[in-house]
Amino acid sequence: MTTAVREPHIRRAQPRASGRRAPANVAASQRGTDLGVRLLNRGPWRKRDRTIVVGGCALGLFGLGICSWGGGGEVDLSDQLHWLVGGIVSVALSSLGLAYWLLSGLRTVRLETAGVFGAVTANRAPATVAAGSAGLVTAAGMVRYHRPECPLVAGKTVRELDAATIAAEGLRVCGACG
Amino acid sequence: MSIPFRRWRRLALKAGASALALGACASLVMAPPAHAADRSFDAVASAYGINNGISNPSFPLSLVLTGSGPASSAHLTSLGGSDAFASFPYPGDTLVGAPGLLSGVFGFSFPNYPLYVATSAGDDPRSANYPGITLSSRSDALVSESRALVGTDVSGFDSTSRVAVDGDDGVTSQAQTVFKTLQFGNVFSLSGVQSLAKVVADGTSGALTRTSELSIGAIDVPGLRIVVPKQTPGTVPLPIPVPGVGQVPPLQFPPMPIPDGGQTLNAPELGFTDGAFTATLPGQPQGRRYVIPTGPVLEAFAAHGMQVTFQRAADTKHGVVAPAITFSTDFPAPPGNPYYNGVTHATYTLGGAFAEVAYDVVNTDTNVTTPPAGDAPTNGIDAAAIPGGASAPGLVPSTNPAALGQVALSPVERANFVALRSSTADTQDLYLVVMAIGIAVLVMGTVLRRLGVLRPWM
Amino acid sequence: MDVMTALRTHWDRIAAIAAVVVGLVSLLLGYLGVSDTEYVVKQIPYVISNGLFGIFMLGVGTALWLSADLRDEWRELRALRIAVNEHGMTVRADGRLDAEGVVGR
Repeated sequence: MTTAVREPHIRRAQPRASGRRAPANVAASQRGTDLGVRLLNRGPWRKRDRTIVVGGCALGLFGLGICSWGGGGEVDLSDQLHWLVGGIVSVALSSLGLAYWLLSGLRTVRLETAGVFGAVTANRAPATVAAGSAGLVTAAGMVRYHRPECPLVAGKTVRELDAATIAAEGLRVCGACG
Repeated sequence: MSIPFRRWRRLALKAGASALALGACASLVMAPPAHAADRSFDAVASAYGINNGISNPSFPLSLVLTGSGPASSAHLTSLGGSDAFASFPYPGDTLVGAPGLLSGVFGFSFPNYPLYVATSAGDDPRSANYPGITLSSRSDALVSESRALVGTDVSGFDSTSRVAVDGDDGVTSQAQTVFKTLQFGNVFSLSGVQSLAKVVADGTSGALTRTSELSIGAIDVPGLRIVVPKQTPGTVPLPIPVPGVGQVPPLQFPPMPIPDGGQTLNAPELGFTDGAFTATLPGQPQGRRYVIPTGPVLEAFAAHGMQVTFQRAADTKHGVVAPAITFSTDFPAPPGNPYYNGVTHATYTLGGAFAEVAYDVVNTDTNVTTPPAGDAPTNGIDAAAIPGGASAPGLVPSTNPAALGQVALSPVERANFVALRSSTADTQDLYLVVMAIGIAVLVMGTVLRRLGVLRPWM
Repeated sequence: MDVMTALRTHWDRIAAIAAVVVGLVSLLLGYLGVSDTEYVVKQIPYVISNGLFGIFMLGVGTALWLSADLRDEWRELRALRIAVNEHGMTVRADGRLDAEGVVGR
C-alpha cells in the first residue's frame, strides 16, 4: 500500500557488532534491542483487534464446515439450499472480521502519520509571505495551493498566488489546510 | 546475498499473479466439452400385495368387487417428475380420486380417502398412522419411495416400492411385497410370501438387469393330501401363446422314477418358489425341501375346492413383472335371505410386483435419443397384456415415446431437462459466478494496494 | 537475510500466498466436481464446500497481504516518529531529515 506522503527513504544501518542483524525494513535510527523488538513484534493492532479477527474467522470456518457436512448429507434440493445460505452467512461473518482488521490497522496508520507530521514540523517556521497578498502559496513541483501555515510548505521556498494564477496553472486546493 | 525488502514484495506479487493466471488457465483447459451426452429415464415400481376379487349373483349389475393391498407405487423421471403413494386397503384410482372430483362438481368439500398417502416432487415426506396400518411416502429429486405396512415388521405384511438414482447415475427400480402370514378363513393359510421385481439400469451403458421372484415359505391347507406319482410323465407339452402360430408337438421323454414316488403326503409342508412347488418328504432330513410335480399338487387343491394358477415372470421392454400365483375358491351360499344369496366366488392373486426403467442416452449435439444396445426383452410381452392384476393399475408406466424414441427432441422437451437435472450449462454458470467472486476479491485487494486508501496530500 | 529470518519477518505474506493458492485449488477442484455430475442436488455440496471455502481462503489471503503492507507502513512511520522524538532528528530547509547515522537520498 502506498503512503500519500513521499518521505525520503531511510537507508538501512550497518549490522550491529553483536552479529544480530536487524530486518531490512527497520529504520536505521532505531538502536537498542528493546526498540527493535518492539518494532518487530508490534503492529498497528491491539489485542482486541486480534481477538475479533481470529474469533470471526474461526466462527466462519466452523460454520462453513458444519454447512458443508450438512449439505452433503441431503438429497432434497430445498434442504440443501438452507445449508448453502448458512455457508454464505458464515463466509460473510468471517469477511466482517477481516474487514474490521484492515480498517483498524488503517486507522492506526493514519494516526501514526499525523503523529509523524506533528513531530517533524513542530518547530518549523511557516512560510513568509508579503503583506497584503491573498495568503495562498505553493512551492516548486506542487500541484496544489496551500495556506502559509500549512505544514506541507513549512521550510520550503514558496511563491505567492492570486486567483488568476491559480486558475491559469490549474492548481487544486490542499486537502490538509484548504 | 540478502534481498532488499521491496524486491521481496515484487517477487511475491509476481508469484501471486502467476498462480492466479495458472489457476485461471487450468480451469479453462480442464473445462468439460461444450457438448456432452445426457441421459433420460422414466422409472416406476409398484407392488399391490394381494389383488382380490369377489363376485356373487346378488351383486347388482354383476359387479366384481376388487381390492388390493397393501399397495405402494413410486415413479421418478429425469424431467423432474417424482411421485409415490401408499395405501391399504387400496380401492383403486377411481375411488381415491372421487372425493376431489365430486368436490369440483358439487362445490362441496368432500373428505379425502383417509387410508391413502401420496407425495409429489417438492412435497415433504408424508405418513399416516392408524391402528395396525402405517403408510409413508416420499418424493425427492433422486429418490421416490413408498411403503404400506399392515401389522408390524415382525408379524404383518407390507409393500415397498422404491426408485432411486444410484451413485454412478444409474437407476434402480424395486417393488417388493412381503407377507409374514396370510389366513384365508378356514380354507388355507400362507406364510413367508415374498414377491420381488427389480430392474437396475447401468449409468454408463443404460443396460438393464432384471430380477424377479415369487416365493411362499409355507402353504397350509388343512386336510390336503398329495399323491406323489411313481414316475415322471412321458410327454411335456410346449404351448405357444402367440395366436395364429401352429402348436408344436409335445416333447417326448422317457419316464423316470421319482424318489418316494407312490406315497401319499398328508398335510405336507408345501412351499412355492418361482413356479415350482416344494415339500418336505417323510424320511428325509428335516427342513430339506424337494421339488414335487405340480400336477398332483393342483389336483389336491382342486379336490379341496381350490384352483391354483401361476403366471410366470414376464420381461417387458423396459422392466419385469414378477411371477404371480392365483388361488380361486368358492364360498358356499349362505342360508336363504332376501339380500345375499348364492355361491361367492373369490380369487386372490399374490405377486405380480412390477418394476421398469426406461433409460436412454441423449446426444445433445444431435438431440437424438439412443436406447442402450442389447435392451431387447426376452419375450416382448406388453405389460398391459399381463392378466391377473399383474400390471400397474392407476399408474401405467407410460413414457412419452417422442421423448425417448429415436426422434429429435422439441425445444420444450429439451427445456424440461433443466427442471431437475441441470444440463452442463446451468449449474456450472452458478459455480463460475462463485469463482468470479473469489477472483474479484483478489483483484480488489490488488487495486486497493496500488491506489491506496489514504487521502491524497499533494 | 537468511531464510529463517525472512520467514519470520514476512510470515504474513507467505501465509497470504499459501492461502491464495489453497483457495484457487479449492475452486478448481469444486469446478471439476460440479462438471462431473448432471444433478443439481449433487452439485450444491461442491458449491458449499469448495466454492465458498475457496472464496474464504482468497479473502484471508488478500487480508493478510494488505495487513502486511499496513504493518510495514506502520513500522516506517513509527520508526520515523521515534527518530524525531527520541533521537532529536531535525528537518533541513530542503525538507530532508538530518540525524546522525542517517543519510537522506
